[in-house]
Amino acid sequence: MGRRARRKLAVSTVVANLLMIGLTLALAAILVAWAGTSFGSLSSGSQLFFAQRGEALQERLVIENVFFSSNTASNHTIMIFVRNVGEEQISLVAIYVNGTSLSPTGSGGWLCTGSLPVTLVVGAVCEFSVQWGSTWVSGSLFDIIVTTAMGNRATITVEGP
Amino acid sequence: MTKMKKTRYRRFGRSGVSTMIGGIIILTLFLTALTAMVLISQQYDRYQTILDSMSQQDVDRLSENLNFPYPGLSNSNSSAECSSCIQYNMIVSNLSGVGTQVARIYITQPNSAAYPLIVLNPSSTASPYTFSSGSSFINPGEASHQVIFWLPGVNPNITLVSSYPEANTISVVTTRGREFSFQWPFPPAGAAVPTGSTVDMGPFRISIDPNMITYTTTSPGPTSPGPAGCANMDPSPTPCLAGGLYNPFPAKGIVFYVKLYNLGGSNIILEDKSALIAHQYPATAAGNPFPFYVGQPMSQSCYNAYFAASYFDGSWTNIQGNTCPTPSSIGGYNVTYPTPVCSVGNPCYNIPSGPALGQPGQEEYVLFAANQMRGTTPNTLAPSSTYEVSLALYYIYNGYEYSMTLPLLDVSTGT
Repeated sequence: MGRRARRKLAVSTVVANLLMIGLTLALAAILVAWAGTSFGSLSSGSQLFFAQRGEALQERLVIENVFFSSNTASNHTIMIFVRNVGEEQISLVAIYVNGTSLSPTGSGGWLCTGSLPVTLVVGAVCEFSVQWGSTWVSGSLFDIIVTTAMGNRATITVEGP
Repeated sequence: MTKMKKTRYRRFGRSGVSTMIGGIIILTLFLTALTAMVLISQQYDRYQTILDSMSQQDVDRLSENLNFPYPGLSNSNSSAECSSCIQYNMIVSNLSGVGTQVARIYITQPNSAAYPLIVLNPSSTASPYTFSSGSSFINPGEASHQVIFWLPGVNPNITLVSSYPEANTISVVTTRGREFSFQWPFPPAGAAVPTGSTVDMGPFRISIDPNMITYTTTSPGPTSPGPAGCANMDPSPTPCLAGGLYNPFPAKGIVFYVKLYNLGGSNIILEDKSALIAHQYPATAAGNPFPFYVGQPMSQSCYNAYFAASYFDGSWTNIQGNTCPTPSSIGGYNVTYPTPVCSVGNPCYNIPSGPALGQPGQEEYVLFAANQMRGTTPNTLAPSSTYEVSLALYYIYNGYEYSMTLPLLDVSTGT
């Protein structure tokens, strides 16, 4: 009986134990690798998120002056002065006047550059000269928005002269 | 027994290995998670620090409060530091608890075709189109600080127009991004009126001019204040006591006239509680109030005579009553809230509004004299005394009752 019983075992006890340990270690390695990857992505993802949010938070810009310099038949120039009052340099990507995206044109004594995007270092100020599409009526309101690449914006509402 | 021992030994041996492996696995997983949590916490802390820092900056920015007291700017034609410049001193008071640094100054000249916009930047040396960086910081709570700026005095010569209404708009931008503006020269209160300046209170405008307060004589017709504010009473002293309101003994009644405009969008009806209150300031005792309640409007013929004799300036009033006041008698004024009755027999001051809200309507001379509310006897002032006179107005505007008090003038009486 004993000899018959021993013959029924597929593998010996030692081999079975070794197999179990091997399988456990393999599964553990897979589990640890998966956990490491998951926690790593979580960590790096949150790092990126907080870093970007932090940079966005440190952006501050103001439109400190708007001057309507010309309102002739062919020239409707609005000068917009934007200052970086934050702690990070900012990239200005768009200017909207009453919902219309306008590109800066012309030249001026305080003009940074003729085209967007414009990088504005901390404390610097830029003058943007934009052309409004038509002659404005005295007293009409202009909503001016300047946006940054990080999604921040400065707004101002001014009355045309 | 031997078999049992062997079995127990074998079972314990397997448990030891698996417990160790399981422990290592769990510990590894725990440490991985803990590391990730520590990293995330550190990043969140850094983010929170930035958030706190920027929030504090926002608080500081919103706390900035600059005020530009009269006269706003003073200028000298030449500058010792810059021979080719015109120097201006801008007077600034910092009303906030944070120090404020001026970053830029914009001057808009609406009536200058050549230089409609002037931009001034900070500079450590005096030169045209700059302001002194040394004077650009205003300490917390500092009053009447002077920020010096320079405009070109030679080719071109830019002198700011100093007459109203060609006012310049001066915008001061701070390093935190706030902008504070004022007009220079300072505009007068309200729109231009015939003469003098004005005080606006609520819907009322009170014109400060030589004919604002006039006084009665025995015969119909007031006397405008003479030199040094001297008013001639009857009998008139010769010469009139300069700076004093001559009031003979026994004292005679006084009728005051105050010129009012309505700036509101609808008519104003004065109530009978309105009065000029003269508070006495005796040398050694508490002073008595001497009320001069509003009296009934004058008759048309009386107004005509006063305008013709230039006792009143202006032209015409649309409020007429039935009496011509004297120092001993006036018409009683009986108009109350909420149901004012205005009729030919009971005329009231229904002061008309102007052409638009904020613009003055027809000027009206309101009479103050009665020694009691609705009374017909003018009050008197004691001789040899001084008074601080306040104007208390109760009125009905848009169906609601309002009131206001304005310290108006000082009066002294002769012996």
